[in-house]
Amino acid sequence: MTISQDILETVNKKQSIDVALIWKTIRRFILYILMILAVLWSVLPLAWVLISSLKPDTETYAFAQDQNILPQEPTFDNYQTLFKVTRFGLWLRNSTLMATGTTLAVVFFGAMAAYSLTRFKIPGFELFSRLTLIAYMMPPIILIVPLFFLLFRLGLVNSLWGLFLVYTATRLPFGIWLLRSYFIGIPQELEDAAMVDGATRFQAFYRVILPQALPGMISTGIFVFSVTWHEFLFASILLFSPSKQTLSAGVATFLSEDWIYSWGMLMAAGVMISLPLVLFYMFLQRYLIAGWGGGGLKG
Amino acid sequence: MSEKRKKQVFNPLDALLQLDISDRKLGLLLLAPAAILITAFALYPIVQGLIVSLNSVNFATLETSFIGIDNYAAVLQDGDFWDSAWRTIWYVLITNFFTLIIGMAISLLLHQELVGRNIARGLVLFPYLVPAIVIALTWRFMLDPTLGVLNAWLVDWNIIDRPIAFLTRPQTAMFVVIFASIWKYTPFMIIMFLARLQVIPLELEEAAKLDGASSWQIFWKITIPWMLPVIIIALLLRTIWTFNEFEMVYLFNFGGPLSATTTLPVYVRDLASEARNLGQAAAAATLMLGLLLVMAWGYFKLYARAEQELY
Repeated sequence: MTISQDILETVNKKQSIDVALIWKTIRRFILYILMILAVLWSVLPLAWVLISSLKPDTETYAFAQDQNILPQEPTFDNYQTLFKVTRFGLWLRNSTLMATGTTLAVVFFGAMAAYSLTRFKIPGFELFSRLTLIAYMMPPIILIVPLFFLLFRLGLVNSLWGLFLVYTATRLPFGIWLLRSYFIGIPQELEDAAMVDGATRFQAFYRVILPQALPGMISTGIFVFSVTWHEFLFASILLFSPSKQTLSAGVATFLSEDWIYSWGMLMAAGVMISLPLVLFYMFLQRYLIAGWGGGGLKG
Repeated sequence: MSEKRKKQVFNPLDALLQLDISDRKLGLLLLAPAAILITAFALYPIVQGLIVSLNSVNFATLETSFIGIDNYAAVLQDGDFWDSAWRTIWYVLITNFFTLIIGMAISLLLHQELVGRNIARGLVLFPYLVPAIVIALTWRFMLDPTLGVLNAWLVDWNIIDRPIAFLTRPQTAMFVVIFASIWKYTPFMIIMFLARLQVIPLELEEAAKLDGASSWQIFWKITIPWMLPVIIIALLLRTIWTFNEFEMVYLFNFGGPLSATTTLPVYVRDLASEARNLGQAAAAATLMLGLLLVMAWGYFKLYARAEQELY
């Protein structure tokens, strides 16, 4: 609908339709088709999960025969089963705590560190930057055994606090690396000008640099939240009581069983794991686009 | 006087803003929390991992005894290690090639002035947001031979004669993992590229247009050089992550069938938790790390050159 309006507008603007205009219209039409294809490619599989989570298992098993895409009798039974039969509610709570805490810690400490690394020429900082990069590239798998020793010594094995520390420390290098690239992009002159005008460095940072770096901090936050929310390896090895498990590691136990208890219930689990993330992201996405559109446009 | 003090006590932010300490102290202070956390939980364990790789570890008591490079010798003589290494390398190459191309195409498309592009920008990022466990669930479900939608449609459209168990056949299992990885990680490229496209200096493009440059010329002479540092960073990050990718590989098939999806991280995990040989697991992990450092060094050089050419 909006597509044809757009084309009509383009057409109505000019009195005479020349070849260039036709070309332009065709080009725009193709661009719109491509845009729709890109969106479908991205969301169709996920839409299928949502749809299937609302179907009773009898409909799911009949799909190959009757090819009914939409649920004939939509139901929330799968969700009820999920919370009643499994410990899903508990895993949901644990993952929420981990992802939120880690995001806040990484954005806060990461912005501090990134600012420090880009603005002050102190001996040893360059070395630390390199070390940070190395820490950041660490395959998580290499850390499993040593971290187990370390957390054991600290009495933090099988504890959500221990996992929180591990998450924050292993996500910080990326946070610093990404934030650094944003801080480097902010001209030093902006800050210097504020300081010449009588601002302290803190004021310059808070009033001038921070607003400029906000899109970077939001991008970092979105990233850290999503990777921590679905983290599997550390959680599956560093936590072993079923009551302390997080979402990915918990749901993975369904997949490692020899038979699938109920596909509908698994799809409901998929929706539940994705939903808070998607809502959170949509809320922040507006800031992200605002940041992309304005403020960031500098020569 | 006392009123003023009260104010300062009750407004720590204001007090902070008035504070004027030396740059050196401030720099160290700001860096300290991150530095301590990273050192304790990410850098120190690397050293300890190296030590463990030179020891034989009793799995039950975690007692270690020094055995030198025997663990490395054992790993390097293991055919499965080399199979996993090659599998990992072509997994990285194929996945990154396609995420780069598709990501660039979608970024340029969504940079055009189209009605609804903001909604589209939001929607194309969805696969990246959705956790690996959900994606494993999704593709397992859609590819299921008896009730999966893709198998049903492929049969209906006469592309295949009968449903194929893509995930339980050694010949096809890795391709499913690759396809799903491309699908999941393309949005990362889009995030990086769109952010960079937003800040492209418009004067450059306009000047080139005035000089009569074609859009093809603008793309190669202005857009690509401008994008290059970000392309290299994005590729560096994706290379590292794909190389280390554990969840997207493991959760699809737990390394099977017949080790067909056992990449290096899965190989290391199996050594640690199935074979219970922590020393060898640490040695294999260290070898992985060596490979990564070589690749990262290469990217670092490339990045420095791209930045130099731009500024």
